[in-house]
Amino acid sequence: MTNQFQNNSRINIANVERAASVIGGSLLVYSALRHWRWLTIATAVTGAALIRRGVTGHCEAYGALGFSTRKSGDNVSVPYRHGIRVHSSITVNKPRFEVYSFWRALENLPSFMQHLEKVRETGKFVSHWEARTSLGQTVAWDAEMITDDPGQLIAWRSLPGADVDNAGSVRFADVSGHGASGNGGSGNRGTEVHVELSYVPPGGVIGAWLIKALGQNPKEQIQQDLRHFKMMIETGEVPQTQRETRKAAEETKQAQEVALQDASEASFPASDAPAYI
Amino acid sequence: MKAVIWNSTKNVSVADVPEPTILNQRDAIVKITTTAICGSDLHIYAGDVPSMEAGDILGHEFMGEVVEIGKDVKNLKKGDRVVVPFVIACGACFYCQHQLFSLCDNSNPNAAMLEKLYGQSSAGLFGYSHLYGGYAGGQAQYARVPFADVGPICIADDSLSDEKVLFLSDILPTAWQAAENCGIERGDTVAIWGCGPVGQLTISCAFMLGAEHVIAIDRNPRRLEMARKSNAETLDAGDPELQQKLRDLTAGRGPDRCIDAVGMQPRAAIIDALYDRAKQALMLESDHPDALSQAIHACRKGGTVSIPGEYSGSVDRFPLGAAFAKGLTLRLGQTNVQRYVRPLLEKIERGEIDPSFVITHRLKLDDAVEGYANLASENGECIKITLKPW
Repeated sequence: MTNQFQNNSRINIANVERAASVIGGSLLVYSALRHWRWLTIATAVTGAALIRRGVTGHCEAYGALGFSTRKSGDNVSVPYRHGIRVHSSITVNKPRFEVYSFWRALENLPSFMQHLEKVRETGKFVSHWEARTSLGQTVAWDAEMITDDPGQLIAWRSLPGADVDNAGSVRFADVSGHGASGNGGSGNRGTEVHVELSYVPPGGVIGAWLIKALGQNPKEQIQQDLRHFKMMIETGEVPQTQRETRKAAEETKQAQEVALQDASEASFPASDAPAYI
Repeated sequence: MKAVIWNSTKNVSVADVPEPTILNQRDAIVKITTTAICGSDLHIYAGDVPSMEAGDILGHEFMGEVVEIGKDVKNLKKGDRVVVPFVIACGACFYCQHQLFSLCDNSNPNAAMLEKLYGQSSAGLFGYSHLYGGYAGGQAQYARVPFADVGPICIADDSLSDEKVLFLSDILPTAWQAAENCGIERGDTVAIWGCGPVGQLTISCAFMLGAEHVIAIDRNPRRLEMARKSNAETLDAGDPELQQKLRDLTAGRGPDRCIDAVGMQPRAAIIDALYDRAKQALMLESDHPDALSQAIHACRKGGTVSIPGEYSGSVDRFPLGAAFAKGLTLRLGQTNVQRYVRPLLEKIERGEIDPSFVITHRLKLDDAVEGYANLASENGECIKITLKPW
């Protein structure tokens, strides 16, 4: 580790978040001074604390919890103890190479991954990804495939400059037993698909926390994506229910999400304050 | 189009709703010619089925004419007359390939909900709550049928009336599976609790599978009378001597095969049931196991208890000790309709069975509200209602 890195090691907030802290803190102080009442002392203190947080780049709460949203300088996409890690698995009633091939054709991925909009292979092992987050932001990144072991394993990681740093792997394995359970099966019991995924969600640790608070459990999300993967490869489609119901439900959900996003943006500075008071 | 929608507990109505459209390429749209109210619809009506939403279209027994197909449906064409199984199945997953269509991995868009409740999800069903996929049901003028290349069966013979083939959608395969699950051997005595439409048809199926005697048990005289017409002996479910009478009819052995065609909604007046009601009032329990307890108690040693009646929650005071001591086999589960439609249609075509005898009321779809109230009422005059949407 270099000296420079050690000198800056107290910084654990990403630049965007630092700027947001300064702006949010300033607004709070301004608001407190304009509408002076005893209660607003707390607001002013909170605002001042946020300005300090933004200027110094150090968050006591993140420090205490062992988090950091600061981008590290090394060549690991998702550094140890950073971001969200999920693993999930599913059994697909198709031969292993067929299952592998469907996943390996990366442009298939948006057909079963809810948040993915587009994946395009831009080079032999390099691809460009676009996704929409639970909060409606569009994010993009380039990824490189670091392992492609046909029929066995695919592993990738995002390249520097990604909006969402991420890395993951999918492992394919035959279901053991080969029809020995007495079910009178075809002899091939299908393929196990094991996914490991880690990513640093946009909005840093607060973003991750908010996503959970909104009920977007990353583990459930990937499980649902895997279910859709299985449906696509086994049946050629993802079952749907009535458009009317779905449309109405989606509109309601979108309205709620927009409201929550506004609310979370408005409450962002205050939500970080208690650690300082 | 017109459709029967669920609003809240004991509140259904006939409403004008948007017509369904093709959403996936394996879909078909069916113009419904005859539909029915099922005993299991009463579970929804009574508010015993969770995850219903106001506006959901009810009904899962329907047939009609194909009016539109997705481009991946190769086995049907416009104008085909079809009966639609109430279970939606993909035909491609491990379970479908093992003929266990009601356990289909892929047809329930809300699989995650059912997984939380039961550990694994089962197939999507028409008009049977969001836990089972939230599919619009068949008590309507049109229905969208997903995986139309797997489920619907064509009725080529126009001389077969709707009433004769409609019940291929649910209650006839359900009755057949109930009897088949018993593993009936020639000469067996089969006792059936519940003489609703499924119980009635199970009597016929048990005889077809080789039963020597069938004993039908219910509290409703009209249902018992119908059962006697199918050559069953009958006993009153409320008879305090019921167990003794079952022993007497089998020289002390007990019936070889027992079938609970009641499920979670019997109308027993015994103390067990009162205890159930007290618990239900306290929201402690949703299922009533009286018929099942009686069946387990009555069954001969080494016999089989088959459960076509529906259960959705936990059951306590379940006589597991008796089942263990007597080495019973329990067989249960939702019906794998697609497995039975073809052989059962052949039986109907050959005149071996005509399931339309269970129909007691023929109504217009517009009168469905009255139909639900009548079927749910205690007067017991109503056994099976069909509805005409046009």
